[in-house]
Amino acid sequence: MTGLSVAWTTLTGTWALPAALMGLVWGIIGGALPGISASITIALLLPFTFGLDPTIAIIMLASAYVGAEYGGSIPAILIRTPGTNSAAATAIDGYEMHKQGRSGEALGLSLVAGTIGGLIGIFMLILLAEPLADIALAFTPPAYFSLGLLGLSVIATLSEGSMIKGFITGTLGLMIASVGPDPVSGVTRFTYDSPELLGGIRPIVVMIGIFAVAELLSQAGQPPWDRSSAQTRIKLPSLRTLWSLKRSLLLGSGIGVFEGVTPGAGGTVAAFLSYNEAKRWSANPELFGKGSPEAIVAPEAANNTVAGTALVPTMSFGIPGSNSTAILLGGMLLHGLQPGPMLFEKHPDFVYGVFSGLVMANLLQFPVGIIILTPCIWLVNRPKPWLMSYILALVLTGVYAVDHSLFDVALCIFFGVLGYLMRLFGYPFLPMVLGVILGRLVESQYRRALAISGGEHAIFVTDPISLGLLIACALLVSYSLYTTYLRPARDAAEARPESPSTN
Amino acid sequence: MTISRRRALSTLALVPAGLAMPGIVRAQNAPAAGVPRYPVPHVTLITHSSPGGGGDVMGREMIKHLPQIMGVTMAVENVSGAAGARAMTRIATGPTDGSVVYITTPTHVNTAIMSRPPHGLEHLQALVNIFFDPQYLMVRNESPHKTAAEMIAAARANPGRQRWGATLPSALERQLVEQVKRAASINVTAVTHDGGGDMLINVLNGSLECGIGELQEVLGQIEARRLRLIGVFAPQRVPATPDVPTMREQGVNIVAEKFRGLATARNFSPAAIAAWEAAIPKLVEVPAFKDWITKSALVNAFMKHEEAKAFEARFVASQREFFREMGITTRG
Repeated sequence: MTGLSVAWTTLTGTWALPAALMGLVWGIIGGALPGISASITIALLLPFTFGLDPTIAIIMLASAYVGAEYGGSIPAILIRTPGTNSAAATAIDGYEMHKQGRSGEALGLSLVAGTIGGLIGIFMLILLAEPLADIALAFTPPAYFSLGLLGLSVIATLSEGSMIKGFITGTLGLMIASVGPDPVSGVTRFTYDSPELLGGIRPIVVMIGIFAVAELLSQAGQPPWDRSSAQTRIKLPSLRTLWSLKRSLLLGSGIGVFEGVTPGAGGTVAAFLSYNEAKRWSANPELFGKGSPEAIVAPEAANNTVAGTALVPTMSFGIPGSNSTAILLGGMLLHGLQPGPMLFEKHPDFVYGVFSGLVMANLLQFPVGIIILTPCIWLVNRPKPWLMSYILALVLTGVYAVDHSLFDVALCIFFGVLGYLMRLFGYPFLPMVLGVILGRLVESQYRRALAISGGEHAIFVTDPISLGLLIACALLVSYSLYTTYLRPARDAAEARPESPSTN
Repeated sequence: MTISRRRALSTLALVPAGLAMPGIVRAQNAPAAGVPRYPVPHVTLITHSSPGGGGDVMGREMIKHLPQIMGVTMAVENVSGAAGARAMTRIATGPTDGSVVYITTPTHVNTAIMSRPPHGLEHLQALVNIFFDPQYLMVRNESPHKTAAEMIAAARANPGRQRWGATLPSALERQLVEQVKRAASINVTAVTHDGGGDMLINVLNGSLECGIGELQEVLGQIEARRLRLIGVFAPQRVPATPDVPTMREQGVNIVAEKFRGLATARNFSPAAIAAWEAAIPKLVEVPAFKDWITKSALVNAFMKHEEAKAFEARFVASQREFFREMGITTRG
């Protein structure tokens, strides 16, 4: 019951409610701007939370995540340009409905499905996060090491086609994490006698550079997106319509729960997966691609569910499963909170405060989503160069505000250019961010475990939690290796006798 | 539900602003009896802590009472980042008339030794010392050892088997482990961590036999009876923990000198130095400030300017030696 009372006190006695509202509004606007993904929306808001109480700050950031997942569907439906990656699935049938003059209906479906999905996500988060974190104290240094390794092994599934490129950028991330004091002996490494580097490189500077600055640079090289009519009004679906869509709704949310708690998947995968599944289980699969309401409800429920459940691994284990949760994790670190098993032990007020704030954000999403549509459309219709330059100024001001350091600003621009080049040559950047975040954990816990065992590596398999995590890690890597290399080879071998030779 | 520290601090931040306003239009107030008149009407206390950090909280507690004692207006300014290097530059290049003073902890000393900041120890001098942060030896509740003496006896019986936790590798806590090893001729492994919270988990889950840390980080665990304090590295028992015997009482003559004091640029105004030397002993007698000292488990360790300078020189030399011995730095 204490959790509930903390949640209530947070909601009524603090700035939680206005913070959730502001985060939500920001999230919807950011999500609606094409090119500004959910993660960038959160990253942009981050600097403005510095002076806030950590609970309020994270409520604001997580609410922005919630808002961005809905916001992304607005341009997806109106101009066939998904505001966020995870809204790409919505664009297929959403734009079809728009062409048929049913834009208001499509937006209404997206909003309702998003709200329902979001609430299911938060409910699952509350249900799952604490039991998982209950084993906090059982986490010894070898177990933490294996946990970090499991987090890093996600790189194998995150590499979007090229595992080698994923490992290259992951290693780059690990190298960045090694700047600063050696975690065990305290010897300074790669600091070149500069006091700016004495504490290491802040993950958040890397993340803002890699995500936000790089995206802005890459947007600058692309033609402007289409304009949309400012006359659109939302048309909410009737209860009967909703009831007829229950199967797609549940499918979307169910997939969202699963994909959210599994690190490495995230909203985009969940949205496309549920689009496919909704089509498979639909009574009218032939309508998919031609403006089917089911095809909007399923992916929107899925990506909004993920906004809640993706916080499970982030808060319980400190392992971010997606770009957005990586930024959220960075936000928690910045506010002096170490996500992971001890978070629930040491800061229950924070955890329950965030839960309650998220419930509010999801409920508020409904009225706010209706009101904010017109200003959103206005903003999306502004000239792209204006938007991009304003946003860049906002990003760099934010980085400066972290530590009043121009060095950090330069570092952020450097990582922005690096991230731009990585995009250009098809190198995935989430592995790099994982390396930056987890590198220090893996190294320090590995060496600490060995200090405790007196140099015996057996400690990693005699500790039961560590052993379990190492096995999970091995399974994950072998599965990824199988799907990347063995299965295509086998499929190719099977296909060969039938296909005519191209020589 | 307690009021958040950050929020309380942001409210407090208005206090110096409110105090500064009348300071502009009014003549300088008279200082308390026995305190020489301060050469300037306004003093800024610089801290490298971010809002809510150790030095910041101390500064903001001080400026609640010091203006009345010294007859000046005061404000705290956070010059955070680069592990204190930026704050050192601010002090070294600032005025020496008494208007800027640096709130110090061992952090800036370590930064100056471990890197090459633009302005280092050669540009600064200790003004006065105010407190020591006592360090505690702690065990989990299930531990068979009731005192530090028992723990050390067990370590002697099983050489090389015990693991003692320390916070950061370059922190004083690790130095204390090494000092205990030498003083009690025992062989234990010092296991360093990424911070106090990190070490606490490993003391609680039994990965470590004991750990060395500060009271404030473990207060919750002590109240929950999951952790016990078995010794304190302080010259005498700390008022906040009267039941915890000192290490000295238990046969290990080691005192932690994690200082909290003030520093200034070289050539600092002698009149200002005299005023600080008179004001600090009055400050620590103010009842409200005294309560804060007890609550924060700090130990009074006031040293006048010359004494503080000599202490700092000793401290710097021992840090350099420790860093060299541990291989943290290669140069002297």
